[in-house]
Amino acid sequence: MTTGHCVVLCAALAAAIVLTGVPSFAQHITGTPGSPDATTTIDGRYLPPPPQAFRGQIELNADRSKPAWPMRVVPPKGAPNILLIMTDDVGFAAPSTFGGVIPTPVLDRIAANGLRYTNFHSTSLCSPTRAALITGRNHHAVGFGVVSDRSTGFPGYNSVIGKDNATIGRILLENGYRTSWFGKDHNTPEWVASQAGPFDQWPTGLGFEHFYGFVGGDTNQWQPHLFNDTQAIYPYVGHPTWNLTTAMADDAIHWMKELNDIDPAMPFFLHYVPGGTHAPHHPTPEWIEKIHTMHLFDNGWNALRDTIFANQKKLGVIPQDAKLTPWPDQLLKKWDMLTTEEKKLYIRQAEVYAAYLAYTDHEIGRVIQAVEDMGKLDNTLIIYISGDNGASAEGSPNGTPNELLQFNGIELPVAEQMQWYDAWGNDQTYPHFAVAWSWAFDTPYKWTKQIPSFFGGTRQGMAISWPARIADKGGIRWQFHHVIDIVPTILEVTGIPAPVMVDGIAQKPIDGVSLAYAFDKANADAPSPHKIQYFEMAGVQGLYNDGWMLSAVPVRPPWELLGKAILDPASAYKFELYDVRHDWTQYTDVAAGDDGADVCRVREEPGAAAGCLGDDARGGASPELGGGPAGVHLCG
Amino acid sequence: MFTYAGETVTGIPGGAAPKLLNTSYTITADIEVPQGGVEGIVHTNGGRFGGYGMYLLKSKPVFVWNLLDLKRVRWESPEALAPGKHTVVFDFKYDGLGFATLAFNNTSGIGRMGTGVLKVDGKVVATQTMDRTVPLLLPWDETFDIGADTGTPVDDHDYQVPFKFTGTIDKLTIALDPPKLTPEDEKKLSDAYRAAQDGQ
Repeated sequence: MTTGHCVVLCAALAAAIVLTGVPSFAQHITGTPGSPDATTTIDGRYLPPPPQAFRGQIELNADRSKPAWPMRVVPPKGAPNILLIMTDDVGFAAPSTFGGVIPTPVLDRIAANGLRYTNFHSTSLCSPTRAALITGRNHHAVGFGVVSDRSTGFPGYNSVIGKDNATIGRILLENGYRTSWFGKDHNTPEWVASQAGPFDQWPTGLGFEHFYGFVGGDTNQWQPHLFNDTQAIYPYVGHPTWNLTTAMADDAIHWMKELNDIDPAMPFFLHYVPGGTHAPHHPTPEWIEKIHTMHLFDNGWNALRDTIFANQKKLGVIPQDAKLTPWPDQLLKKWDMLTTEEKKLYIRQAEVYAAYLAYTDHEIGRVIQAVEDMGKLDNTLIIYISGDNGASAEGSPNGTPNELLQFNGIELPVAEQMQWYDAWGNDQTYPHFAVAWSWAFDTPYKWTKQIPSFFGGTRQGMAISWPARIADKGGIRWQFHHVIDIVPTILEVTGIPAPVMVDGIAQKPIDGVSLAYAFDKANADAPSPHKIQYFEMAGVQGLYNDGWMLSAVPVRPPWELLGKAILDPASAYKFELYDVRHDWTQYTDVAAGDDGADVCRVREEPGAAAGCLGDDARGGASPELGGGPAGVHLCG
Repeated sequence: MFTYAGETVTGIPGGAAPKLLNTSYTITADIEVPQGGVEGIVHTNGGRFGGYGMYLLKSKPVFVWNLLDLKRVRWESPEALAPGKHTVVFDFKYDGLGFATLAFNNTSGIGRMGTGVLKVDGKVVATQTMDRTVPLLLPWDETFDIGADTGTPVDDHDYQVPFKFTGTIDKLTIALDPPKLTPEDEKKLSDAYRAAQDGQ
């Protein structure tokens, strides 16, 4: 072998070790093997683990034989319980924790007891973010380039996660966790969502032993289309005050307590993803009244942005030199241009929304309290992601008493909506607020849900607590991260490897990188290992690369749901470039600047897989763009 | 053609159900009315925020199209059904080109008018024309149900869920007859598509 060969081979080996991140495996056994209470860890690279060899002895007579039970599989010692919580359609600036005016004391509590991440991102849409979150892979790599409702029969878009992308539920399950999923499942293909199945792409088929929730983008919280595992249930019939937001917390608490009563040693993983605060905004009347008396929105959406922006600086969740992006005058009315009736309706819409967020946060708090009541808070990793994408602009410029109107292209004038003013939020409505509120709830950023190229669509507040491990309580972290980084984080802290094979099927590499390094205060200012990230949704593209953000400018706002198709997405968009190291909010486009930044420059880095943003309308469908660790041709 | 055995089946989601938007269709229900009368859902998809339902109120066949909670169009038989076997049919003729125009970047085919006829044992009992129909989506959290309703009712004034059918459904069929583009339609749409592109 020549030296040259050796260099190549050694480099490949080193790369393989770095890429898979598999530590050398040492089986750890507790108790006496063969006894009923013995446990073992497994070599998690191949799942499920093979059956254990019989360790006893078999003679002709049972009394003389020695029994031996298989050891129970457990995760590595010290692996925490995990609560992975994510709310729905919550803009960065909605919760109080990130400068908002809506009280979210539970998210505040997690942040105060742990860390706040201020530079964390979603894909800008529900199903894609959710698929990426539970697999650690980019959304196109797991069949969810777009929401399941809009799936098409192409790779990356067919709403099939694929058996080469085992979820974190499956990985933890095989490593000895009890696993469960509560709330929204927007990752089951529509055509298998009936009682005819098959059920392998339902939560219970994806590695979550128990599911209590709904399948689809949203559901009525008063009369939901609800499942217990895969069975439809109708607990609301005859109970007019029943609400899913409370019921799912009850079910989660019951699931944990039952487990704790039967076997408190069992580690657990809850994927807790409530319908709040996606439309329909369905809080209880008590929460609506409580928020109403706070008069949070009386001064309108423009004043609200100023208030939030000031709060954000005070809290330190945006840099002190961050600039508040301008109001989009061409798209949305300023508050002082509105009539008295418009203001009255819009305030009501925002109050009901705020009540829904506060209610959702409160019920999450009950689940967390149950963990504390069991005495398990100390070794429980709680990841609370505020929203799966930016605030939703899917409610029409006037808002709507019935979201279905908007999705059928019907915008109701304010005067007509007033007939639902009092009912807003109860089961006679399926409501959503006016678009301008979503822009305000994404302060200080531009754009909203559906837009992947601007942080209004993608930046999410996140708080993580783990008292046993995170000592920098109340700390803030600024490193760029993305939902695909959650699975690698969980794997790192549990000491469980990413499987290379599950059920005999080779697994795709995990795209994300762990953010656990930043748990330590010493690493508070460490550079992020997440250097490059593509964003793509419905043809709109963005590319983050080590402090720079290339952003396609949307040609159609998200609330124009029935606009003409864009015939040539590859050439339809103007790109802007932002230096987000110094321009936190994408305020100043430097694409045409004279500082050497040129949108069409080509960056190539050693070993990089090259893709081209310009030659594929679906952009991120190129796996190179998705999984590539380094450079990309920005323009071909 | 979709055929159901009449078993009470609820919870079929939109992705696994016949799609009745922007198309002509015929719903045919063979039912048996017990002594003492009948009530309840024969078939429904949707609820309070949009959808349709075929049901019996005090033994009278009713069909309701709930147009997104903005308007409800109602077909109702003036006569109650006598005990025994009956066939209730809702026949809808859609007056538009349907979803097919969307392939030409054109929404003119959807949400158009149409006329529905309610028939009992072969006799027309009610006829109504809808000026507009639901163009794109029924509620995704409501379901296609036979023999009972889930979620919310299509008309709160008529019933509350589950409103289980008190008779027997022997068979339910749904026949779809979607509009087909003629060569002339296609030419017109293609020309408009090209004109729009040229205009860009």
